[in-house]
Amino acid sequence: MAANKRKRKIVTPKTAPYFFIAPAVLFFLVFTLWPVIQSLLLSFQTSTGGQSEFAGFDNYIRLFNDGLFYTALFNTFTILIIQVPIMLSIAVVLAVLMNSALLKMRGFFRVAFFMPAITALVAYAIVFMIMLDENFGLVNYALSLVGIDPVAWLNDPFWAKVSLIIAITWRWTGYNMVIFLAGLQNISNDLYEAASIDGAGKIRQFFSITLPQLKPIFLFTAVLSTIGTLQLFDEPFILTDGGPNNSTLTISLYLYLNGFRYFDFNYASAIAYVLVIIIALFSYVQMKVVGDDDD
Amino acid sequence: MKIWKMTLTGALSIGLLAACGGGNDDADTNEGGGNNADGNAENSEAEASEVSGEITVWGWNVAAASMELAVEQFQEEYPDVDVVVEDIGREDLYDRLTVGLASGGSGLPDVTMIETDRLDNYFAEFPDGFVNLSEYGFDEYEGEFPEAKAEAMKDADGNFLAAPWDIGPAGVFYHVPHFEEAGVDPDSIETWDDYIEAGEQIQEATGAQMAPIDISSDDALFRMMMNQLGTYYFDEDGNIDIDSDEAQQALAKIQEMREADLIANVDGWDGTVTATINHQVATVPFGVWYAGTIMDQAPEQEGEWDVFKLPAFDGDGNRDANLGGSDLSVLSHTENPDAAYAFVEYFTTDVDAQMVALEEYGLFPSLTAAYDEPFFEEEDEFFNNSPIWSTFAEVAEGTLPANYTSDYARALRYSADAQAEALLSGGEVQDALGEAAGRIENETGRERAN
Repeated sequence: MAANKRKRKIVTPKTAPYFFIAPAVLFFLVFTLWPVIQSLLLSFQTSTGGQSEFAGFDNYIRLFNDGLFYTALFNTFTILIIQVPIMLSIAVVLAVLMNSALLKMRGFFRVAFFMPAITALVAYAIVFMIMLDENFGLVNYALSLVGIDPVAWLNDPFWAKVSLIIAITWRWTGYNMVIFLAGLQNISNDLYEAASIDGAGKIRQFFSITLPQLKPIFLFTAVLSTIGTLQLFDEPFILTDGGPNNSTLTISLYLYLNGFRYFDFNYASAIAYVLVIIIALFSYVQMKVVGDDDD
Repeated sequence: MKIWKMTLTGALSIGLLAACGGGNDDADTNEGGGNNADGNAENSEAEASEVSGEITVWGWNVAAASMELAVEQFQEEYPDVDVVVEDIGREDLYDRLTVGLASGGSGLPDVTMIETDRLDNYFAEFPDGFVNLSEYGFDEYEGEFPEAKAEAMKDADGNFLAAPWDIGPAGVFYHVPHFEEAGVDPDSIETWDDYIEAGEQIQEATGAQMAPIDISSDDALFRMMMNQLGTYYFDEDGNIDIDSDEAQQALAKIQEMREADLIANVDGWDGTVTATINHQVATVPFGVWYAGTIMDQAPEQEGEWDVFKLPAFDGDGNRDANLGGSDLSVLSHTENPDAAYAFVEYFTTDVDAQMVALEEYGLFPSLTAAYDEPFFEEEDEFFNNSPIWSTFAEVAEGTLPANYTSDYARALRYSADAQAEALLSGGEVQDALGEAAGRIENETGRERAN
C-alpha cells in the first residue's frame, strides 16, 4: 500500500528539480528558442504587401552584395579593434590601483568607476551628445580654453568614430575593472613576497606576475567585450544615427534600420544570422588563441 | 559548451525580430478585419447616439494634448463614446505600431496618429492593417483639404486609409534685429540668390550665419526646395527621381550656402533650437510648427521674430512648399470601428477642434475651411505684429503634391547621406545624388527616372 502511494506521486525528490526549472525552460522555449527558429525561417523569405514567400538564399546573396553591409562590418571591426584593447588596458591598470593598500577611500573609487555601467543608457548618451555638441558643447569649450579649434565630434566621419569609442570606453571600463579586481584577489600574496625577496620591483611584478595570472580573466573580458562591441547599437543609434554618411553605421544598427525603418524583417533576420555566425567564429578563435592551455 | 552559450547570447538579439515578422502569415487570416466595414458603411450616417464604446487613441506630445482637448466637445455629439488619448513618444509609437501590425494587431489602439510621409510605408507593408475610411464615407470631405494633402492619404486604389490632420507649410523664420542691424529688407529677398546675398551682408554686420542644418542626418531644407521645384525623392509614377536636375539644383544651392559659410552645422533637434534662440543663425527655413517651438523656448524674444515665404529659384518661381504634417488612421483590428471612425471624422473635419489645436499648440490644420476663421487675419504679437498665419495658409493652398512612396524611409536616409557627402566631404552634388539613387535602385528594384 505504502509502496503504491509512493509510485503514484508525481513530485519526488528525483523529479522535483525538473518542476523547479520548468517555468524557466518554458519561457526559454516560447520567448527565445521559438523566435530564434522563426527568424531563421524569416531570413529565407521575402515579403511584399504583407505576403511572404520562400526565397531561398536571396536575402543572403543580397547581403553579400550590399555595399552598406560591408561599410557596417568595417565600422564595427574598426571600433572593435581599437576600443577593446584600450578599454581592457585601462581597466586592468585601474584594477591594480584599486587593489593597492596605499589607496584611501577605495570603496568610493570603486563605486565611482563602476557607476557608468549601471547608468541609464539614454541618459548617458544624451549627456554625451550635449557635451560633444560642436557649437555649444563643454568639450569644445574646454578645448577652446587651450587654444584648440572646435572639433565636429559627431559630424565628422573620423571624429564620430572617436566619439563612439570614447563613449563606450567610458561606459564599460569600470565594469571590466571590477572583473579584474575579482581576479586580482585570487592571486596569492606569496608570489609577490617571493618576487620582492628576489628583488623584483613593482613594475616588474606587474608584468611578470599580475598579467600572466590574470590571463583567464583577460580571456573572459575580451570575449564579453568583443560580443558587446559586435552588437553595438545604442551609442550609434542615439549619438550619431549611423552618420555622417554611414561612418558610424554598425551591423546591429543596420539590422534595426532594415527591420524597423524599412520594414524589411526578412533581410534584417538574414543580417542577424550573419552577425550570430560572426560572433560565434570570433569567440571560438579567441578561446583557441588565448585559452589554449586553459580548458 | 561555451561556444554554444555565446551563440545563444547572440541569437537572443534576433528574437525580437522574429516576434515582429512572424505574424505576417497570420495577418492574412485577419483580412476580414479591414473589410468588414461594408456592412457598417451605411451606418455611418446613423444617429450619433447609437455609437458607443471606448476607444484608445495614440499620439505624441502637443498632438496628443490637442486631441485630449477635443474629447469633451466630441462627447457632446457622441455621449456614449469614451475616448482615451495616450501620449506615447514619437519613436516609441512607431516601434510599437510596427511590431503590433506585424504581429497581426496585438497591443494596438483603435486610432493612431501617423506622419504623412510615413503613411505609404505602412500602407504598403501592412495593407490589411488600416480601416478603409472611404467605406465610411470619408470621400465626401476630399474637397475640404488641399489636394496635395488629400492625395497622400490614399492607397494605390484611391481609398482613404487616413484622415488628413495638420500640415507644415514652410516659410523662413527670421530674427528682425539682425536684419535691421545689417540693413537688409526681408521683402527684397525673392530668390535664393537674394537670400545668399542677404546672408553675406548679415554675417558681415552681425557675425550670425543664415540657416541651421543637421547636415549628417536631416535634409529638411533640401526636401522643401525639391517640393518647391515640383519634385521629390520619387516622381509621380514612383520612379527614383532624387538625382533629377531640379534636385541637383536644390542641393547645389545648399552647397553654395555652405561654401559661403552661411550654414551652421548643428547636432539634431536640440542643436537646431539652441542655434535659433542663441542667434547663431539669423533665419530658420522650416515648417509652420517651428513657430510654436520658438514661442515656447524663447518667450523673452517676443516681437523679434517674423516670417517670409521661402525664396524662389528664379524671379517668379514657386515659393510654396510643405514640411511635415500628420494624420489619423483607424486600425483594422479595432473592436469598435464606428466609434473610432466617428472620432477621426469629428476631429479632422470640425473647424473648432482644429482651431483649438492651432491656437493652443500651433498645429496647422489642413482643413481649408478653417482658414476663413478670424484668427488667420490676426496680427501675431510674438511675430512682429505680422499676419503670419495667413501667409502660411496661402503657402498651404499653393503647395505641390509630393509622392512619398513606400520606400520613403530609405530615400530619406540616403538623401541625408548625399547631403553629408556634398556638404561635409566636398563631394560633387551630381555624384552624391547619383549614389543615393543607385542605392535606392539596388535595394528596392524601382526604376530610375534619370
